[in-house]
Amino acid sequence: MNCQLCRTEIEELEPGARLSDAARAHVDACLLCGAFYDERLSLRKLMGSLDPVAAPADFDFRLRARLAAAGNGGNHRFSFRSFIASAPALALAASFALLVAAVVLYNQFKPQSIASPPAVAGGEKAPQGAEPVVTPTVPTSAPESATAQTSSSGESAGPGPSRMAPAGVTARQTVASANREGRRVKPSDDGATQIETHEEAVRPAPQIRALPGAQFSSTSNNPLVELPVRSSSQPVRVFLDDRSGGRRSVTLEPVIFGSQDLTGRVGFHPASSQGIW
Amino acid sequence: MSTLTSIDDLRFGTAVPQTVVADQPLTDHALLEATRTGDEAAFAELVGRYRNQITGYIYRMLNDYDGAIDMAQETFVRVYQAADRYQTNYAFSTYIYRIATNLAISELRKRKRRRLVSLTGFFQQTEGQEAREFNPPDLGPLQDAVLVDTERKTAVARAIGTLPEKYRAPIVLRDVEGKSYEEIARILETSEGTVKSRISRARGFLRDKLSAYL
Repeated sequence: MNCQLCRTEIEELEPGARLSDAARAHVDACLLCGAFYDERLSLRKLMGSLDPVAAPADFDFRLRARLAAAGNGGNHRFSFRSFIASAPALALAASFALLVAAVVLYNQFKPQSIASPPAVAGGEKAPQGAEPVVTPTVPTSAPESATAQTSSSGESAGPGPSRMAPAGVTARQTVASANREGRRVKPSDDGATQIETHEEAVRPAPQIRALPGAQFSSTSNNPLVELPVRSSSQPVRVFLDDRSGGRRSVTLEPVIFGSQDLTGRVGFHPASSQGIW
Repeated sequence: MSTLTSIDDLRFGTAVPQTVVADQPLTDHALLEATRTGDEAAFAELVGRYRNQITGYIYRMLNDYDGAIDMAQETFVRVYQAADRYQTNYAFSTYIYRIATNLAISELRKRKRRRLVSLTGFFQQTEGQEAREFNPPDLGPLQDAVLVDTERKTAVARAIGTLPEKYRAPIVLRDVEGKSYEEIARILETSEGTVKSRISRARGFLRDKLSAYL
């Protein structure tokens, strides 16, 4: 038996047991293992000499009281009311946090109609529930009624479902909405402006009808065309079709408010009657 | 038919075997089974069997008598509350020692975080030096043997208390409680090899700390 095996046997010796004969012989022969054996034996005696510790006399009594208390506590169910009462500061903080979260969520998801009430063009407002006719604010310089098509650059202006503008929505808003959604705007035969969409499977585009007295003409006092301008990297194109088959195209460069050089007029092209501005 | 030689030979049906069974002490499993059904006397019997062992074991772990009593009672509360979930795969002693060990180690960690200040600690020197126990002077006649014995036991208890948690539990279970390696492994939920290794390391630590008494 070598020293390692002998020391392993000494370490794992059961209390009160004796070493095997081989280990005993090795311990007698090897001074180091003999010292190790004596040391471990003394250490075990030291550890075993510790006095046993007894529980106090009232251990059972205190345990019963503790069990009773734990039993009462164990039957206690969680109650929100008691929680509020026990931690008022925490409840107040939690209520405040909930209130702030509710306000933030409301501001983020409140309806668009509430956020931006419809503006009235021409001082008139379409009656609720009536024919959605609004005063057109998109007069053109064409002698006859014209079709105004607005689309983003690169988009095809194909036909699509049309819809009437909802009550209370001005032409400017409708055109803006059509521009955002990639639909085209054209006046119908009765003078109203139709907005056609090229989106697939969407609701019909709103149709803007002109009031009986409001015709597109060159003698109009307000020849300006009001078109929505949005901060986009894509220029906005407006196609004007007259009834004679001619088409005019107007390209509006993107405007970035605050960074546009308005005084230099770089790239400014004056209006032309040839169709390209 | 055999001849009766004494009154004890009279047998009344199954009465005698029942009496024999009743005289035999119930096992721990049977007592816990009875505790599940609401038999408080059975639980009291269990407490009576293990209260001193558990208190002593936790005392050796914490080196604090009041804390040991508190933890021992908490151990029995846990046993009582979890009686329905107890499974008889291992001995009940293994089960209750495991609970006690977990509670003691948890308490040791809490105390380490709290950095409790011991009142007697002001009179103790730093680790590695010879510590002095604060003992009020005894005006009575000194008994050398008692004094030396008390001092030695105090030194051993303090040396155990300085062991890391993972070494303290196995060495106490082995050398103080006299548990087998297999049972210690079950209590600590580790392998026997790990237990043997930790006990050997713990003895090495204790040998260094208690070299004056070896």
